[in-house]
Amino acid sequence: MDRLRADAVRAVRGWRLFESMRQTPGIKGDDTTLVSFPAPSHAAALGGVGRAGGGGVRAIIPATARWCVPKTSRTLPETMSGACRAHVSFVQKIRSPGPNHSDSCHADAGRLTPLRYRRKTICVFFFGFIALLTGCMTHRQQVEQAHESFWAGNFAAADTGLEQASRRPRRDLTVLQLDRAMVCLGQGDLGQATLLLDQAGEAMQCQPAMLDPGNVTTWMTDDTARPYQPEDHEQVLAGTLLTLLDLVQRSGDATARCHQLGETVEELLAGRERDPTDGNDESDERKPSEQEETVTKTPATAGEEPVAGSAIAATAEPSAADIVREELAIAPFLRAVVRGESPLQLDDRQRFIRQALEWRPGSRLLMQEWLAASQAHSLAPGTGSVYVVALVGRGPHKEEAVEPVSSQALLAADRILSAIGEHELPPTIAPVRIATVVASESRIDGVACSIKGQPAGMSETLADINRLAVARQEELLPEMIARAVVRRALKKSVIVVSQDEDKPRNDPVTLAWTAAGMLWEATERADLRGWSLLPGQIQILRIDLPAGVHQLELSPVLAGRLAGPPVACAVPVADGANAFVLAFFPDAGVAGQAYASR
Amino acid sequence: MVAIRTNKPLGSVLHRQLALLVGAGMLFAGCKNHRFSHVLDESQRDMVGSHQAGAETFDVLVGESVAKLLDRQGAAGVDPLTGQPCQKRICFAGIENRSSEDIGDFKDQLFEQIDSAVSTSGVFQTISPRFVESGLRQLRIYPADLMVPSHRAAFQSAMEQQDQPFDYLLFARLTSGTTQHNASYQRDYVLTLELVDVVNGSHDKESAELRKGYHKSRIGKWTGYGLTR
Repeated sequence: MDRLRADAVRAVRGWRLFESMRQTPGIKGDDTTLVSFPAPSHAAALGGVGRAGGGGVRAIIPATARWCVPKTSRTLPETMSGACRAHVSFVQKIRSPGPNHSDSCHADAGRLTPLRYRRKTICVFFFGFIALLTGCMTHRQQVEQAHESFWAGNFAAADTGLEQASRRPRRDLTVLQLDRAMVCLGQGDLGQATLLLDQAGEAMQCQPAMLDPGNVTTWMTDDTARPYQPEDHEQVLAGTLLTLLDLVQRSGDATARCHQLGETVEELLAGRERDPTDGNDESDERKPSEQEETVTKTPATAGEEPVAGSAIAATAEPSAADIVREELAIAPFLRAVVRGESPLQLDDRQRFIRQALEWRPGSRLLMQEWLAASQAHSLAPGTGSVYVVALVGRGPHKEEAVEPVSSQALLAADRILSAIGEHELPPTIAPVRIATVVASESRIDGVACSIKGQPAGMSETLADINRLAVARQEELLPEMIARAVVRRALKKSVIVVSQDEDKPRNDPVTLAWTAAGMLWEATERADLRGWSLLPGQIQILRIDLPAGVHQLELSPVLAGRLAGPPVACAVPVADGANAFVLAFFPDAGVAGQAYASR
Repeated sequence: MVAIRTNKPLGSVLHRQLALLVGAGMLFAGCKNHRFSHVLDESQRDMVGSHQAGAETFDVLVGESVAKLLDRQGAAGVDPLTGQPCQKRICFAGIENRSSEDIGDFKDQLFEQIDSAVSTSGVFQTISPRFVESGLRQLRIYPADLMVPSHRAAFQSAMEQQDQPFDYLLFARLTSGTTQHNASYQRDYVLTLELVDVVNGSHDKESAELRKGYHKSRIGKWTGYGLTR
């Protein structure tokens, strides 16, 4: 209302001004002309009548008054200096309508030259900003080139590129460490890969404080300003790879790695589910790890129930929550394998296999493990088990996407704004830019294993990282959009608040400020940081073999046919113990070689 | 172009809040990526697990159950050859978690705590768990199979081959029972130690119990158990 009242006052004053100009000698007021105005009040101030559209107001005003429109030209026509002086006087009056202001107004009438200096300042800022952006592109290009080198099999170039990028990280050191770990895996440096994954895992666990400068500035810039926020699938995969690398290297930390992986998965599930002690649902109050106990199964019947469950799951579309749980079954599986190596830990083995089977019903591999765990004498004397772990395909990557604002996201954003103060969110539905996880297509289906030319089996997917990432994205999408909406609202509010309401819209400073605000919003970028060199799936094959050294051949398979050359690997198998083989098949060829446990 | 409608004058409120936010952010700038830890001394109490059992539960259970067992089995053994008193040789066959909780890394610690408490009592002499594990693995049997006479005899023979004969088998088992009451629940933890004489098959059993209440809030504790500590 205040704004409308101010516009009305301006209009009245403008009309008076126009009337006074009509009476100015040398100005004829009978002609008319068509002029564009940024706002209706400006047109009305000069006695114009028009309509809105096209980013402003088109209005017909008396031709004599068109000189009152601020021009970009800094040279004022001498013949119309009276009218122009009157206009400038009018503007000055609106800015500071004081009774003794007329003299100074007239004195400032022809002084429009400061605009030149403002433009210079704006230009300096603009080119500085462009220079900054250019620097970001160089960093990103360097990283992307390293990624391309990795996928092409040039690990040395990839390592060099990532190592150089790590020297001057742009809040993406953790991501670079994760990528470098995969490069080290390809190069065969498993120790360095473990070290890098350890460092990255530690950084991922240390979430920054709420009032960390990065977290605060993210509301005024974009999500790239805050410290790296790891995705859930990245945390789970890092823990899984650390466990696998430890099993292959026999470092002795596998049990600890398993515990850490279990805790990561527990936290993930507890975070996305309801508080276990929430009283709304009395029937289910325990942690996810305990919920398996609510479905009491006897070892004899447990093997049948998941099959029935899988039949139901086949007919109904699984929810994102089901998919997440299904793809996390790798964690209890690894815990069962590691713990189950000792005969003193049979109960742990059975417990974790049962949990994995409940999360991923219908899995042949898990069923085989369950039978081995429930039948105490399944492994004949003089034999051991070989677990072939194949990292297959390429993992998900992030792309910038323009997402429509859903009502759910608006509600979440409104709650955030309400928490900040007594503000309301306008019901805007303008789309926002966010980073979306995109699954990569796998060029192979799995890995076939053969021993001395005889087929030994085909690997089975136990964790689909692409599927897990997309499902988690689906769950977190409203929250991500809400963040973007709140940020947009805050930016707009800062622009509006910082502008002088009494200034006309066509004032150069106002226009420059508005343009800067638009640039501020337009330069917002989605946070595309993420682990790029990760596998798409973790596939496992278990083979029971007599004690001794065996030559395994692993071949990538697509649609039932060999998709690439096989890779050979010698595996020492100990009596009654587990052996592990780890290989990464991003495409039809193996990255580096296959690694067997010592 | 007004982006936000406000119930209060937006300029003053937002400026103030932004200033406060930025100021607080600067103050807490040192909080980034820091975690804190400290060493506990003997006088400090254990942390009480809010969602499942922890040190406050297991320390009590182990201490009480082992003390009870040692108290009952206090009499020294007699060497069958010399007739002289001697320590009883005991084979600890592991701890079995039958509770509804995944006790995680506590399981190995419970094993070590029980093994250490028994071996330092002066009543029993324990066999290294590494010998036990290798013997079981060699025979492809599990601790539960040791109740089958043929398996037990084979295991005894295997241990004797490693110069690790034993007189008793010790089994530990952790169980739990849950009672629910609206948003709260009570869980009773029982640790049972079972000692089996491999010569005559007789067994002795001792257990310790600890009850814990889990609540959504402190009020839940008061409504369930009254205003007690």
